[in-house]
Amino acid sequence: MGETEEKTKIKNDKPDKPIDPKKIMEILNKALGARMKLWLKSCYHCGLCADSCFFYLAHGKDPKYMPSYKIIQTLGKLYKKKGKVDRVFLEEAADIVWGNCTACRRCSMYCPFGIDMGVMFGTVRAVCAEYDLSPEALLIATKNYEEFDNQMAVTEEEWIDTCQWMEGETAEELPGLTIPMDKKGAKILYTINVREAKFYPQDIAQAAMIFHAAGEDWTMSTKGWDDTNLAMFAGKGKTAAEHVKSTYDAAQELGVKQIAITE
Amino acid sequence: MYEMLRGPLILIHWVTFFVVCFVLIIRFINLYRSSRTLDPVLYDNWNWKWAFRSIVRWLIPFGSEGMKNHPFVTLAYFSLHVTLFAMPVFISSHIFFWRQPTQAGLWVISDRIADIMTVIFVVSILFIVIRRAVAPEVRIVTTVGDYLLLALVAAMFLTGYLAYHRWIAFGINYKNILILHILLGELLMILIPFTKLGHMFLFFFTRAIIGVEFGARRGARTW
Repeated sequence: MGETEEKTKIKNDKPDKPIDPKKIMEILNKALGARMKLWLKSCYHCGLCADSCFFYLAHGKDPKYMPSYKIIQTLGKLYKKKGKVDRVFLEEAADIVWGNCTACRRCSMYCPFGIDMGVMFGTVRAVCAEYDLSPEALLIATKNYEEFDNQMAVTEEEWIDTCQWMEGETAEELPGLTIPMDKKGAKILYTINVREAKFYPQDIAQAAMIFHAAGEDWTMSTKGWDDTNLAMFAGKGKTAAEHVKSTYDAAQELGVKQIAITE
Repeated sequence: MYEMLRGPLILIHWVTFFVVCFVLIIRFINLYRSSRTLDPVLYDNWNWKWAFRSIVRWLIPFGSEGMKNHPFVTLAYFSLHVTLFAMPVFISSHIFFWRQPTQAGLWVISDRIADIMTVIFVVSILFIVIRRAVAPEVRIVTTVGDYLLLALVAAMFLTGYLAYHRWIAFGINYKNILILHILLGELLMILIPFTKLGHMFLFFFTRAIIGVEFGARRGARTW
């Protein structure tokens, strides 16, 4: 690795709890279903996954970046040592699973055994996240999900205001246009990336224009309207699940037939 | 000594065979049970068509992108596996294993083809060993166990070859080499459930799982 190259170091400056092998094993055992057992046993060390990884290719085919090696160094060692690792190990593991892998799962398509390495990296992320060893931005987003149910801390009041503002402006152009909020029995529940509400509200207006022109029966919701899920990438499974559930619950309550997701 | 040991060796063979089968069945039952509680995602999306395609594509030489990108590796591994499967089953010296209990007339590989296959096997296993030692991306994940398994398989092949041609190697009588050959075979069979050799069964499971995950859930191929 070149000296000028910057390396992301994931550190938790205010560690609030000591590393507990029992807690780590709890996470690892929960992930240790038949699939994980098969994957851990199946790698024949053939090296065919190397070429599939763009980190490996972008680093001049440095073998340290090949998927199989990255798994062995992180998840392999965690299982082998039964979770008895120190903070330095977890910091290094965090650097590998966030800094040297995007969990794109391309390696699974090139593995002769089809080992799902994305899920395996996700498990390591969950272990690291337990000690807040995740990229800072993801941790902030996770806290926002827990508090506001969206990643950018937009309050319900601000959200409703934004939609009404866009409705007012757009209705001048297209008479009769509405942005329905919590309309029971609508066909489509439209969810957005919170970025649209915070920085690009005109995106909401444009979507509304399309729905209006198409004559669709649609609605927005005051709950579960942010369809991003950075908590999942942060390795915070519980928050990620709760966030998805809030959208699902909103759809159930409104009785919609479909959930539309923006991008 | 061989005549004396022949009876016990056949007995050992069948005992090993059934014990290994038993261990494998127990393992599969355990795996199935833990999958029912911990891998519900698998059964929510199960699809035989995608599972089957994912397996078959990787059993056909150059059936997947990964294989097309590495033609020599593909050739070496396919040669190794084909010879490794065909020879023990169809070679003329082995056929009595099947004929005796079943009295069935099976297709037999002629001795000339068997010799050619041995050469193919030796070349492919040499390629694999050299690649393990030389290619950095393979070397970094290679363990002593990987070499040991390759060595055991090669030793089984070599002793079989020597015994069949009745050559005297290292001053050992061919009949003793034959005993060694049989014992190596039994050892490899015992190792199936406990080492990477298990991939001969696990392959079908992991391939089916990824086929369902990418195919049935997302409509993407994994080959």
